[in-house]
Amino acid sequence: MAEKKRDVKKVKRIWKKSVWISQYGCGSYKLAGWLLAISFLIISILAPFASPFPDGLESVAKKLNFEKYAKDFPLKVPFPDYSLPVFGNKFLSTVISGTAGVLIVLILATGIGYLIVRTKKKVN
Amino acid sequence: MHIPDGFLDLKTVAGTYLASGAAGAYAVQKVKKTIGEEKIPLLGVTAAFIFAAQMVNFPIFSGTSGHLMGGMLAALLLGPWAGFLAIVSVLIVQALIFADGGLTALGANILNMGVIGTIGAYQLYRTISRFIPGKSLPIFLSSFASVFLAAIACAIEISISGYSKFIPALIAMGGIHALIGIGEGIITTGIFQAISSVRPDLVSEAERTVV
Repeated sequence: MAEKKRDVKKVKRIWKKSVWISQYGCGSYKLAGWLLAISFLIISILAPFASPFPDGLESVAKKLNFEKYAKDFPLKVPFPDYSLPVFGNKFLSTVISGTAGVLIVLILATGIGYLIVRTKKKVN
Repeated sequence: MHIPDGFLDLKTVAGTYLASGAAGAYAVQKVKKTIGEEKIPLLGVTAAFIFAAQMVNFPIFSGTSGHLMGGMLAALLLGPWAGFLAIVSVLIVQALIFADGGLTALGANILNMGVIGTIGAYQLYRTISRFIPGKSLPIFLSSFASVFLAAIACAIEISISGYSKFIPALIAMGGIHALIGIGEGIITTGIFQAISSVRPDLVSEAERTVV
């Protein structure tokens, strides 16, 4: 009798666990949550301490003397060079503009994806 | 290696926009066929993650830095076609919101990092995988190649435009980005191993989307 009760409990526990896994552990969603959390960590912990040296192309342009041809971006952008013109503080402006960038990229890529998948349904 | 405005002449701007546009249209068709709705959140988040990672410049030698490009990483997680769309999203936001990479050069940047550095690198990965067992070494090599080949393409575009001599640009861009490519290989292999230890199914799914 006691054994049967224990078995029932076991089954219940497994059932609960599998429901939990099916809701939170399956598909791409769980990994997506982790990657997003890590993105914000990168922005707030690593990005403020990124190397200020010019990148590969910039240093080649300097060395081969064609840097002078570079023109400013033709439009007015919200965060030129990953900073908020209003903030003097480099740490704050990097974290704020980086967080904004992560959210905008997230919305844009998700939007493009849903648009493509949705038109597929209409076609079928 | 985001090309700013001013480094490309009209014919190169037109040519690279045309090539990227064609690749984009083809990729959209491929994504329609191979990606389900349940993958879209991962597409968005992978793009966001690569944007964040690209902000972290690491010094390679005094006076020069590099950062992750993420093309191979995107292709490994999403397959080459959705991976390409992730990189394109990152490049569009970097240009229009942060003025990182020019507006007239957006076509070239998509061609270099999206078409060559993502779709091309993933094809290379599949080819290398036939000859080298395991996943780590093929991933390392193709991640290295993704940065190196994108830099070569960048050098070709700038010298075709007449702003630099061909051979010096090729040597300088190739040399520096060979070093950055080693960083790309190490970071991509590391992140891939971390993710595949949690979600081994994901990679095989992405590989099925090549078709």
